[in-house]
Amino acid sequence: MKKLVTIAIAVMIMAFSAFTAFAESVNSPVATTQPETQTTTIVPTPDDDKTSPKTGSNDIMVYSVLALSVIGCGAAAAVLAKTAKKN
Amino acid sequence: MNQNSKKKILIIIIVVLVVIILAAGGYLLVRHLGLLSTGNTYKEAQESFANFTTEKAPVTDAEGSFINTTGATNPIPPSVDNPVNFKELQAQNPDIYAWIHMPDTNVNYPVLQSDQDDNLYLDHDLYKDYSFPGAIYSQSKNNKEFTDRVTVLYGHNMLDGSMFATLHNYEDETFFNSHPDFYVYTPTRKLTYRVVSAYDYDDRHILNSFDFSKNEVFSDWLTAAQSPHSIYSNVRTDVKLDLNSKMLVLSTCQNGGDGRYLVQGVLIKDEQTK
Repeated sequence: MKKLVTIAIAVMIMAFSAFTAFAESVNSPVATTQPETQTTTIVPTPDDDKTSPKTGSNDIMVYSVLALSVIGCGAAAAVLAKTAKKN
Repeated sequence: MNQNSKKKILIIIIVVLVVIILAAGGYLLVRHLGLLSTGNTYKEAQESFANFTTEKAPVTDAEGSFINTTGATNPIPPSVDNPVNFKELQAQNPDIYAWIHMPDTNVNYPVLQSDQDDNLYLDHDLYKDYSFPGAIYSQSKNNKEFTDRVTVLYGHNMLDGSMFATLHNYEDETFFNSHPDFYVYTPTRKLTYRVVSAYDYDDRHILNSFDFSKNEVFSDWLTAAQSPHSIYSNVRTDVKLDLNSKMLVLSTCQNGGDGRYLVQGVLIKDEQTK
């Protein structure tokens, strides 16, 4: 048990010092150095696909699932009612 | 199987199906609310930034008034009014560079192009907020001046008739014949396009599949535009197309199937706006 606790603490310390976000607040000579300046580079993403963008309305699948579920539910309820009546 | 086990199985089936119904219903409800919100966004934009109350479709087919596309390189004075307030629109989003208006359809939208992500506006509205209907947009392969041989605009085929759904009106021969023209406004120009044809096409990416800088490729495209390989097509044969033509392809999905529905227009008039 003691060993486990020691390992857990060691892992936490390692994780704590590894992440820049945590290390920033640590005033220690072994803290990680901050990057000089953060520059955001936005890489353009051109569409090189051979297929045209899909511009369909894709609700048909959901409507189908809904309709089939309602029908299935109704049928199951009817069978259940029939069974209950027999008893 | 005894009655009790049968009952248990039926109850389990019903519970599972009810969960599915609730999930699907919830999804559709959220989607519907999203669509309403997007619809309002565009309605507000149309009311605030564009005024097309006076523009109507020509009553008769304007045969004889056709101006050849060679005029496209020399915009024709005098100036006409620009009903779109691009200054305010572009202050909201600089990606807005044109406005498309098709009389007697729901197509009355800003046109956008992102220089970062070609398909950003497939699912983002004019304010760059996520929305399933997205916006009407072109890709970076096209310039924003509508001077390419073929410019392609994309829009969703929405069930509620918004975006490019009413392009399907052109499937009707009467509508096709009585609505020959549509309009594109840029901050400085009014472009009038004559609808050459409307037809079902496959799902090929047009600009990635054809090199229109080659005369023979473009010539084949123009020929195909006036004699499409589609049973469901309407064609205007009295429009002259040549290598100087500037085509505008409006692309949306078909009502069924994996293909696309295209409405192709050719630039017939290029006017400066005030």
